[in-house]
Amino acid sequence: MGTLETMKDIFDNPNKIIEEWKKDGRKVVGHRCMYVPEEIIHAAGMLPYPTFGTPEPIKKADSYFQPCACEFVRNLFDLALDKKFGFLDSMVLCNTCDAVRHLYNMWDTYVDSVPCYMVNNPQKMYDESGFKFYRMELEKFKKLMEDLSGNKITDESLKKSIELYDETRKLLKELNDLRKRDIPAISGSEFLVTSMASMLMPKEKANPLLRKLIDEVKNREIKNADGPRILLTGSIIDNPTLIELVEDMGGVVAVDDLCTSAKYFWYTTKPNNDPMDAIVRFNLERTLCACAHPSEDRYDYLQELIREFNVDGIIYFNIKYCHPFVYESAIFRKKLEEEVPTLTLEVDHSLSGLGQLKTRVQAFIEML
Amino acid sequence: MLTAGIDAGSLSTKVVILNQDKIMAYEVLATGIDIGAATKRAMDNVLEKAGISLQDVESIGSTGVGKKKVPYKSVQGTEVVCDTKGALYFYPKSNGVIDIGGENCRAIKFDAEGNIVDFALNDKCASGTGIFLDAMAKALRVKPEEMGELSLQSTEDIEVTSMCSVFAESEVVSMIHRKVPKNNILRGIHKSIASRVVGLANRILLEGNVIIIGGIAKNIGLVTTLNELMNSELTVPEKPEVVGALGAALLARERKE
Amino acid sequence: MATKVTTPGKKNLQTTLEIGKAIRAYYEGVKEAKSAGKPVIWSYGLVPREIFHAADAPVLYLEHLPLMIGAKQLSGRYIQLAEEEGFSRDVCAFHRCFLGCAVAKDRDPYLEKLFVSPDLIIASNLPCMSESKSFLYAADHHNCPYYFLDAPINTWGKDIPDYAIEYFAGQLQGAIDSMEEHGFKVDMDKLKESINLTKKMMGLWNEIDNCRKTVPTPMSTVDGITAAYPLIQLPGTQLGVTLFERLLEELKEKVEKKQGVIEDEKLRLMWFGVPPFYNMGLFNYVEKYGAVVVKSMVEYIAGGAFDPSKMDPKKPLESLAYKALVDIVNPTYPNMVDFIVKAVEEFKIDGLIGVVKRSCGLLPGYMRLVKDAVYKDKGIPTSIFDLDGLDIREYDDVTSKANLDSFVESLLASKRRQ
Repeated sequence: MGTLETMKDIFDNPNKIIEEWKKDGRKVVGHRCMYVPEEIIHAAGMLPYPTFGTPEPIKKADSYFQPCACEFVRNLFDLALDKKFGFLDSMVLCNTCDAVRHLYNMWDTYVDSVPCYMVNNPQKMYDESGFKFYRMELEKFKKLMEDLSGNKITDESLKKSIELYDETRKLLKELNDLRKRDIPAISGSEFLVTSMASMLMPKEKANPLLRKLIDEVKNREIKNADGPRILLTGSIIDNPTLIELVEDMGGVVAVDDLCTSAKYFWYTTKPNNDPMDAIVRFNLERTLCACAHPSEDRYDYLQELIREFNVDGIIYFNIKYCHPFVYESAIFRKKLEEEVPTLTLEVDHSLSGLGQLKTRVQAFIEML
Repeated sequence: MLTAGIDAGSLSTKVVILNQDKIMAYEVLATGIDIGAATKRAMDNVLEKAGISLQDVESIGSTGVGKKKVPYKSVQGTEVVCDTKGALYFYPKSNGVIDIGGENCRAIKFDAEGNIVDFALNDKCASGTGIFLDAMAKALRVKPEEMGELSLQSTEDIEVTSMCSVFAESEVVSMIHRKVPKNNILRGIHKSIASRVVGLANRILLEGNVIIIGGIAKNIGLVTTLNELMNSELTVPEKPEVVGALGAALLARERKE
Repeated sequence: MATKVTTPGKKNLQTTLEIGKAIRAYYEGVKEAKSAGKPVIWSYGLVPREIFHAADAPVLYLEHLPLMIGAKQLSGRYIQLAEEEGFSRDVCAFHRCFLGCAVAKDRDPYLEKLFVSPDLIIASNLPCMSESKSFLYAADHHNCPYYFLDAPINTWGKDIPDYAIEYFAGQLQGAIDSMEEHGFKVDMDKLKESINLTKKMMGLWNEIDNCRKTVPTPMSTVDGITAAYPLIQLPGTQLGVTLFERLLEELKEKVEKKQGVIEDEKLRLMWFGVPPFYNMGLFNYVEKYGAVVVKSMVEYIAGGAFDPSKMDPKKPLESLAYKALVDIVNPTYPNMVDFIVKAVEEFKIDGLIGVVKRSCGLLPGYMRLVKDAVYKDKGIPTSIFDLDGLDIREYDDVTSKANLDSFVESLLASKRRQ
C-alpha cells in the first residue's frame, strides 16, 4: 500500500486509531477547533482527537437546536446524541462562534456519557490583557487535563509536545508546498484526506508517515492540471467530496484555507522558554479563523496564499448558517474581487443539493 | 346526544355526526371556492345519510382553516385541539398525531389525559402537504390516489432536492425529460415530503404510539416512507380524513355537557 | 403588502408614553449634536452605556435603530439593501437592517430624522459573537475608526472570577482611551456617580417587576418592552431614575385599585425571543382568550436580571464589567435558564411562547434548554415557532396566529381539565 492509501485508510477508519490507543488504557480527549491546545492534552499522555461530522441528514438534533443553527454543529450534536462519541473520555470546545457556544450548552445538558469543557479563549488577538486572561484559562485547563489523566504536565513534557506538534505542522506545510508547482504533486482532495488523517493520528505516527509520503510524491505530477488554480476557503470542510467536485469540474485546487487544512499547519509555535506562554502566543498572535478579530490578518494571509500558490480564483464554501464566514465573505468580497474573481457558495454540510452547486462551480471555472 | 363536527379544510370539507360515542355518518367533499356552500352540502348529505334533521343535532363543533366561515352556530376549536380529541377517540393509547392536510401539516404530542404537551405547525411553505403532492401528480400525469402505490415500485433511489414546490416541479419536469422512470421520481417526491414531515415531528421529539391522519394518510407510499424515516410504526385509522371533524364533534359534546 | 395584517401594540400606561417621548428626544439630540459639528459614536452590542453618558457622547445604537424603523414597518427595504451588498439572509436581520441604513443612498424621512453617520465605532461581541463582525463593513464604508471590546463568554455563572472582571474592565478602559483619542472626554467622577444611578435603576426595576407579578397584572409586555428602554439605553442617568420612579408610582396605584391589563385573567404568558416590533398588536391578539403576555425575556437584557448590590462606585469599570458579564444573554446557559425558571414561578406564568428569528445565532439556541427546564421544574409548557421580529418580509400572519390559537387553546383545555 502506498502512503497515500494508508492515509486514506486512516481517514476512513479512524476507529482503528482509537482502539490501538486505548489498548493500554490511555485516554482520548475529543475537541472541535484548532484553538483547543492539543499540546496540553498530549503532554498529559492523552490523545487529542479532532471530532468531525458525517454527511448524514440531521435527525434528533433538530429538536434541540433550531433549524437555523449551523448545520455542522447540529450534525456533531446529532452524532453525540447517537452516542457516536462514546469512546471519548472528555470533550473540549472553545469560544469561537455562537453555534459552538450553544453546542457546549446542549452537550453539557443532554450528553451525560461524555463530559464537556469550554476553554474560554479571547477573540481579540494581540491584546496583552487578553494574553493574561487566556493564560489563567489555560492553567485551569492544564489542571483539568492533569486530573483527567492522572499525569503531571511538566514544562519539559509540554515543550516536547509542542515540538512534536510543530513537526507535524512543518511536514504538512512541506507537503502543501508541493502544490505550488505548475503541475502539483498532490491533488486537493488527496491533500485534504492526508491532512485530516494526520490530525486524527497520534503525531508520533503521523510524522514518519508524512516524511515517507513527501518522499513518495515529490517527483509526482497530478493529472488534469490544466485548469484554473483555485483557492478554497470558508467554513469547515470535513469531507473531500466538495473538493472533488471542484476538481471534477476542471479546477485545480491549489490550496485550501480550511481548519482541516492550511489553518491547522500554517503557523508554528514561536520559541519560548515558558511553554504555556508559547501556547498563549501561538493562539493569540494570529487571526486564523473568521471568528477572531482583527480580520486584517486574515486578509493579508489570503493575499499570501494567492501569491504563493498562483491562484486564479477563490471559492468560499460557507456552510449554511455559518455566520463568521458569511460575514467575512461579504466584507472581503469587493476587495478580493479586485485581485482575483471570487465565488461565494452556500453549502449544506450534509452535501445535499450538489447538482445546483456543480452548475455554479462549473460556470465559475469556465469563466476563469 | 347527537352532535356534529365540521372540519372546513382548504382542499376538502368533512362533516361527522356523532351519536353519543358512535359515528352515525360522515361525508367528505371538495371545498372548492365557497367554504360556506361546501359545508352546507356536506351537512345536508350527512344528515340524510344519518336519517336525521338539523334540529336533532344538539351542538356543532367546527375546526379547520375555514371554521370562521361555517354557516352554522358552532363551538370553534383549533386543529391541534380537535386532532388530539379525535385521535384519542380512535386510539386511546396513542400519544401523538401527524396530520397532513391540503395546505397544512402538523405534529402533536399529548399525554394520556389528553393534555397537549407540544405541537409544531408547518410554515407557509406548501412542501410537505397535500397540495404539493397534487401538483407533482399533475406534472407526472398520474392520478393522485395512485401515486403512493407507484412509488413503492421504484427501482432506484433518487433525490428531489428542491424544498420549494415551484422548484421541485421544474426539477421533476427535467427528470421526465431525462427519461427517469416515473416510479423512481415518485419515490423521490415521497421521500422529500416525508423528510419535511419528519423534520416537524423531530422538532417536538415525537415518538411512540403515533397515528397519522388527514387525507394523505391513505397514501401508502408516504406512510411507508414515513415509517422508514421515523423508525417507528405509524398507525393509520380507518377513516383518517375525518379525525379532525370527529374531534370537533367531541369538542361540541364536551362543551354541551 | 396588499392587506395590512399588522397592528401596533396597545399600551396602557402613561409613563410608557413618556418614555416613548424620551426616546425621540434622545435621537433628536444625537442629530442636533451632529449638525452642531460634534462627533457621534455608533455602538454595537451591549457595551456598557455608562461610559458614553459619562462623556456626554451622542450615540446611535445598533440594536435600537432597526427596531424603531421596524416599528414603522420600514425595515424590509433596508434589510434588502444589505442583502444586495452580499449579506446572506442567514445573518442577523438587525445587523442587515443597520448596514442597509448605513449604505442607503436615500432614506425614508422618518429614518433621516434618526440617522447620523459615525465618527467612531465602539463594538463588542457581547452578546452576539458571530454578528460582531458586521461593524467592520460599516467602519469601512464610513472610513471611520473603531474599537472592539472582547467579552469572555460567561462559563462561571453568577460568580465571575477576578481575572475575567479585570480583562473586561481593561477592555472598557481601552474603549475609553479610544474615545478620548477621538474627541470625547470621559468624566471619571461622573462615571462613578453613574454607578450609583444604575444601582438605583436596577432596584426600581425590581420593584416594578414586583408590581407586575400581581394578579391581574397592571402592565403587559407591550408596555414592558418600551419601559425597558431606559434599562438598555439610559443606565447611569438621572433621567432613567426619574422615568422608573414615575412608572413605579403609576403601577403601585394600579395594583392598589386592582386594575389589570385585562379584567378576567385566565392565562398569564411569557414571551421568549425577539418581539414582533412591526406588529406589537400580536401581544394583544391573545387577550380575546383572557390571556395576557405579562413579561418578555428581552426585558431582562442589559442588567434587568442581576443583583445591583454587587456594584461599587469606587470601582466603576469593574462594576460595569461584572454587570456586562453576568448578563443573561452572555452564554453559557445557567444564568439564562435559572432566571427564566425563577421568573415563570414568580410571575405565575402558565405558558411560554418561544419565537425563533431564523437569522439569530444566539436566542434560538436557548429555547430548548429553557423549554425543558421550565417544563421539568414547573410543569409549564412552551410553544416554539418561527417569527422574525424585525424582518417584516418574513412575517406570516396566518401561521403565527394559528400557533398562538393552538397554544392558548391547549393551555385552556388543560386548565379546564384540572
